[in-house]
Amino acid sequence: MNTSNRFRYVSMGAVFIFAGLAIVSRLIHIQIGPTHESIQTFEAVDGLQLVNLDPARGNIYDRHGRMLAGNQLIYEVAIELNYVRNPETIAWATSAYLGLDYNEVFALASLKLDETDLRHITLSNFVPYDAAKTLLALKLDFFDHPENAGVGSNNKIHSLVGLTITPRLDRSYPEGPLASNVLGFVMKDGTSIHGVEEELHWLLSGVEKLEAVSTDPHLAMELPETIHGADIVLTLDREIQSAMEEILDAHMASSGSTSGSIIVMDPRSGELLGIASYPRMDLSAEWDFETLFEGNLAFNMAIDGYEPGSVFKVITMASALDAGVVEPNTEFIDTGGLPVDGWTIHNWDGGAWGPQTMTTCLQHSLNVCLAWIATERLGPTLFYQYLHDFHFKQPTNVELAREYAGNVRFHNDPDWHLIDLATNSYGQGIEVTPLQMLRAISAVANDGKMMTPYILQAVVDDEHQYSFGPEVAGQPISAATAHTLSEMLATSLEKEASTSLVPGYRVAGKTGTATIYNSSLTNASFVGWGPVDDPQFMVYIWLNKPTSTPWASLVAAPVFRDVVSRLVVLMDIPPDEVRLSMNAE
Amino acid sequence: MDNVSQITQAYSQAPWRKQLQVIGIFLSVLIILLMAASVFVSITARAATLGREIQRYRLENEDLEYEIANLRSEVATLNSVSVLQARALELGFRPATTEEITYIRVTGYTGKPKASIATPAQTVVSTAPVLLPAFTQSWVEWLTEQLQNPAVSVADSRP
Repeated sequence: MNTSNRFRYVSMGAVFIFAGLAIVSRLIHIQIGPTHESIQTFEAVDGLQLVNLDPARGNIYDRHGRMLAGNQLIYEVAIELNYVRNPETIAWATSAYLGLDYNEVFALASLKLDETDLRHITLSNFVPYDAAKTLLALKLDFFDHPENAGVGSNNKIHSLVGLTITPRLDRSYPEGPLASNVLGFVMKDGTSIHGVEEELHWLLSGVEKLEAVSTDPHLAMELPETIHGADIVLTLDREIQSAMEEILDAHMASSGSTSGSIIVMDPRSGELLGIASYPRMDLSAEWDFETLFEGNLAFNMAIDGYEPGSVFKVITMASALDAGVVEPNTEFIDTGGLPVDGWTIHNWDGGAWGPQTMTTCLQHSLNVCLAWIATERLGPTLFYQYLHDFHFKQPTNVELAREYAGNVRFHNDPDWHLIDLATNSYGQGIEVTPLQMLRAISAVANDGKMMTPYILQAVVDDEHQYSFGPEVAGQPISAATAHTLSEMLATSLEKEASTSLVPGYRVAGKTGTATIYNSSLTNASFVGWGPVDDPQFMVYIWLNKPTSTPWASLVAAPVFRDVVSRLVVLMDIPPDEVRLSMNAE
Repeated sequence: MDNVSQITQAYSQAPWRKQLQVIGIFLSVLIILLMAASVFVSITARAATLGREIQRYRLENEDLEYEIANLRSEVATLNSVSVLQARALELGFRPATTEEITYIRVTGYTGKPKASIATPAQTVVSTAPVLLPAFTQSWVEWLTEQLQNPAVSVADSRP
């Protein structure tokens, strides 16, 4: 090896050794030197990204899978001050496409980082899909083709860098106001109010959380899964619901009532097929809520309390027949008055109807007769035992928020008086909800078995459907009593030539007119079911304070007729004659 | 003594041969290290690329879920009762009355079916994991399992 070569080798070796030593010393410096802590902080903070795991709220479907509540895509438009290149473009674009104030946005977008603690400024939280897509397209166009973007008055190239357009889901109600009183609604701040939305919020909402997620691509598989809300299927039938709302609205207008409700239930299962309630709001216009439901007006009249009046006579008569203290042909002489506890009970017309049977007592809706049954035949112990068995003063626990439990003074309550027994027998001095009445009277339509009304048919979670079935709430009366009373009520309607009758279909039912305390107005109700030999629907109607006439026989019974006329078509129920001949084949 | 030194000299290698051996060993080790490093870098780079793709797909998936939810709502709006009724009226239809309907018996027809949005929970049959342990456990984990539970044969772990 000559001298020049040796020099080259030594030089090369020295360079490599120096480089190696430099690398090693830098490594040691990084590991134990002052930069060590800052690098750890960088990994802990900048290596993480705060991710808002925003779950999709579960959809709500009707019994046949038609969507009643879903989600729609909306966008949050915001400014990220760190990245703003041209405030003028941002102000122009947001004022042109979102209608925001140019000067206000320009001032916000022009903020320097040292002038504010803010980095992220939300301009609008509810930008619709189309407007957001237009903005996004414009942003991309400026970004991809800056040469075509042009310059603003500030001589900067137009750019929407720094304007973020982030998608998120918001509640939508494709059917508009349909079933709004059942569904409830979700406010813009995410709070669910009333109905199924509030009652089943825990199922529908999913799990929202803010998590620090590593940006390290090697840890991509460790990203947390978003737990979305479960979908729910209701027992409601969209077509029945729509028809009931249409009928209710028409009769609200013709009767001059302030509020009202129509409930349709399958008495064999307790499935609620339709719950119409008035007033009703468009769920996308939450600002209407306070004006529509001012004061004590209930969001859903079907679960609000009221004095039912004579529809309650069905309960009194069922109890008396079941206890064996009267029979359909038991005679009663109506003298037009019954003294009880220092008061006198009168009939609705103040008249004396003379000799009556139990069937005609129901047919003519005689208060005196029913008060006599309660006070003279049943007595308080039996009467209130039956009320307990019919589950009065107990909520139905239907899956609707804010259900009223009702109010009954039982005979062992300190504020109970004998007059309560007499007035309770014809539905005064007692507070029930239409749904409670429907539950109780379902025993009469369903062979003595009282069905729990329910609206939740199934829950769909984690790609599996969990279905719910009927539940017998109890058997307060025997099947024989139920059949006898059904027949009595059907005969009553037929003999009375009630306006509730529908040609071709035999139905059973009872009207109810209750005077409102300290008012000349009334509560008009009707409960009915059919076909009598094979009940497939049960309907409860309540019109609050009708002004056209106070009598339920004139104002509520025609509602039942209209409801049944539509129901039999929607539920494919042939006229009795056709149905019986088909069954006989 | 001369014989010994002659034999030693005869079997000892030339200095240049020893240097070549050292260089050869050094280069061999260097090449092995470089190969290992290149394999490591290659795998790490691929893993990082795939990780980024997973992150991107997740974002895409989220966007698609949002789009699907939005489209479902749009479809529901287009099929809502009010829209369908308006369309039916435009086409000259009106609600049928009870007198206008002719009923016929259809054997086996039990009415409109109830909604079936997903598989009923009780009919789920397969409870087997999607991936067998053989695809996820490391060699050390497999060996430990075999040592701890030698009775479990490979055949047992098949689906």
